[in-house]
Amino acid sequence: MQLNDEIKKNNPFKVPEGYFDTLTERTMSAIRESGEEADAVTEKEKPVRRQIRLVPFFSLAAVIIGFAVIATVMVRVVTADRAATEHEAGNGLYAELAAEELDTYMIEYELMEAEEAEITETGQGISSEIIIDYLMTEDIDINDIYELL
Amino acid sequence: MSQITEDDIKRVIRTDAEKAFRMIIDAYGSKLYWHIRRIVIIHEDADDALQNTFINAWRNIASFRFESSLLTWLWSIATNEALSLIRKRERQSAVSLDDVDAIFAQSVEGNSYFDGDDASVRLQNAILKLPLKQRAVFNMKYFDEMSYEEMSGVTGTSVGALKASYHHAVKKIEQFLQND
Repeated sequence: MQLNDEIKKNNPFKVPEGYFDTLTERTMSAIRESGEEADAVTEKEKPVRRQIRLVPFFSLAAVIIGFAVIATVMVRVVTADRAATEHEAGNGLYAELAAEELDTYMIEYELMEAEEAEITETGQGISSEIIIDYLMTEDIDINDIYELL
Repeated sequence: MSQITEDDIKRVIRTDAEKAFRMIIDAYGSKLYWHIRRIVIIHEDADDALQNTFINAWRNIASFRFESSLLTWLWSIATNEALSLIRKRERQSAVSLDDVDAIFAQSVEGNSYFDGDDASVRLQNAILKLPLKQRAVFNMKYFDEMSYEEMSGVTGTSVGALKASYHHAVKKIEQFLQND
């Protein structure tokens, strides 16, 4: 059996008699019962008043942001001076920390390599079709699947 | 009665939201119902998902700026409602719901609103074997005859990925129909 227009035309789904005739009324009743307000902005209530009320808040926010920017710049200038002094005095300490970080990085890298090797070994023989099916079953975005494979 | 257009709705919604919403239900109600019904199979579930679609649309109609198509926006809400309902149903069911009989057995209405011949039952069973999102993609292209661009607006997925997904779905369905 092939997919064709004949099979498409035959709609096996039925609805109770008069279902679509009463759909609008039933839906509007359900909306009223749900207590949801229409969020529609009609011309009568353009948000002019809201803009006027928000002006003082925006001014206040601008002043606060201005102060914050000035304070941040000042703090950065002071700490940069201090860091330069400390850097000269503490070269030994930084060298030690750098060596520790490098060791940790090397261990993590070796572990990742080992895991990848294991995945490649066990993953042999799995077709991309099966992977696509699996990812779709898991509801991964179709975009991501086709871009990755 | 002449056909309601998006421009008519756009004009009315500025002054009378309820009237505009009635126009929306009149214009798109049945299309959305059939889209949902093909995904959820059971009439009662389709009716619930359709009501939720319109309640959701009513709640968010202000955020819709008519920059994109109203039908695409509604279709997107409807698809999400239908898929959520299926996920919920599958979580609650102890048995696999990948054929129509299993779904009818789980519902109160059973197969009262289903009257399919052997070919259509087999087709529905083949569609039910597809992963959930791919099922929606197949239905939109095959039954609703939407363009890939419209489908992209509904799903937020690229046209290329949708073409690949649909092609893959058709192959799987035809394979299922041949082997079944």
